[in-house]
Amino acid sequence: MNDFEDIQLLRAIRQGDATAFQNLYRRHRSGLYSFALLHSGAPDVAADVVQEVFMGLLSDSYGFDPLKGMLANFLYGVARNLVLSHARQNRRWVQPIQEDDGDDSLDQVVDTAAEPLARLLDDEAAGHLRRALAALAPHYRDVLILFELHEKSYQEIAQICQLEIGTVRSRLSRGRAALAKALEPYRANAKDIA
Amino acid sequence: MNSFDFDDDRNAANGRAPEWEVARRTLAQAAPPDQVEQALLRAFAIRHAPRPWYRRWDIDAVASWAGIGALGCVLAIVGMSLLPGEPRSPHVVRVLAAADVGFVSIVSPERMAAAVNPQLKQADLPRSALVQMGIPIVADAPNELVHAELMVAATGEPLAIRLAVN
Repeated sequence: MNDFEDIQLLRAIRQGDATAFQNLYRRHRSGLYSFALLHSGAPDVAADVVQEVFMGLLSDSYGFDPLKGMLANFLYGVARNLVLSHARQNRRWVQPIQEDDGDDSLDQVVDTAAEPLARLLDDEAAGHLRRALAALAPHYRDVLILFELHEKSYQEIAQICQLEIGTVRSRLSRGRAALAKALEPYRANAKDIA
Repeated sequence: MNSFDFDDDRNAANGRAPEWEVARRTLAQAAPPDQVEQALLRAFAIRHAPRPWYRRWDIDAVASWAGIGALGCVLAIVGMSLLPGEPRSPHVVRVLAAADVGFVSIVSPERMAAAVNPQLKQADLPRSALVQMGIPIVADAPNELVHAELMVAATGEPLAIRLAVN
């Protein structure tokens, strides 16, 4: 995604160009929505987050500074904060999966708001991923989604999540291990069925 | 190799779950409902709606523009007062030359008035040259140099002269 084009669009937006605003929204909506969707597990929350991100951009309440980084990463950072804030308000977060947890416990900890997402991610493997992600702690989820789904670099993730690069690396490593553990029961089930 | 160094090596061999590929394909076209875009465009339209002229002025804006204007006036006055008093245009030169009683006209008033782009120059002239110009000066020491200011036409013709006062 070309950051120069984003800056041009931002300039046009500040001059009242509605088409520029629409173009900017369409450039970033999918990435932000999928991030918020996998993070929160709830399409309604994800849609709210995307809307709030762009409302903030419109009112300039987040104070984006092009000298400090790319607009896309800035928007992901705002979206992440909004998802976390929403989760705190609604106490939707689940505890990280424990070592002895099995299929049943996984199903129990998954947020019920995730059901529409289950319909969206109707592929079995994607469904497994969704459930396993829901069982992870949010700080692992952040890094995993940005790295694996959005293919952000360590540097970008550090910027988005306001972390040191070393912390990003360690969280990614632990997050991957936790995710693999959370996925084990699903994979075992799939093998049994096959 | 550091076990964490897989920034540019995102594959299953380095711990990537294959389920991510499926998720990426499935979510590639995911987008918020159209209502979100509509709500945003409505908000944009409200924020950028044209306002009548009398609502574009609030007291803060008027005060700040008045302050800027006052500051500009002060700077302009100070700047003009610091400008050098040397004549800048033929018209100014003519007016000043006519007004300055220290200058002695060498040519007729018509030629003086018709002179194009006259300039003020300083020179050390021998007394004899001054006498030839008709300046009432004592020529007992013809080679003695006298400092003078000359009004000279663009053609080089001297129009008026003022002798320096020692």
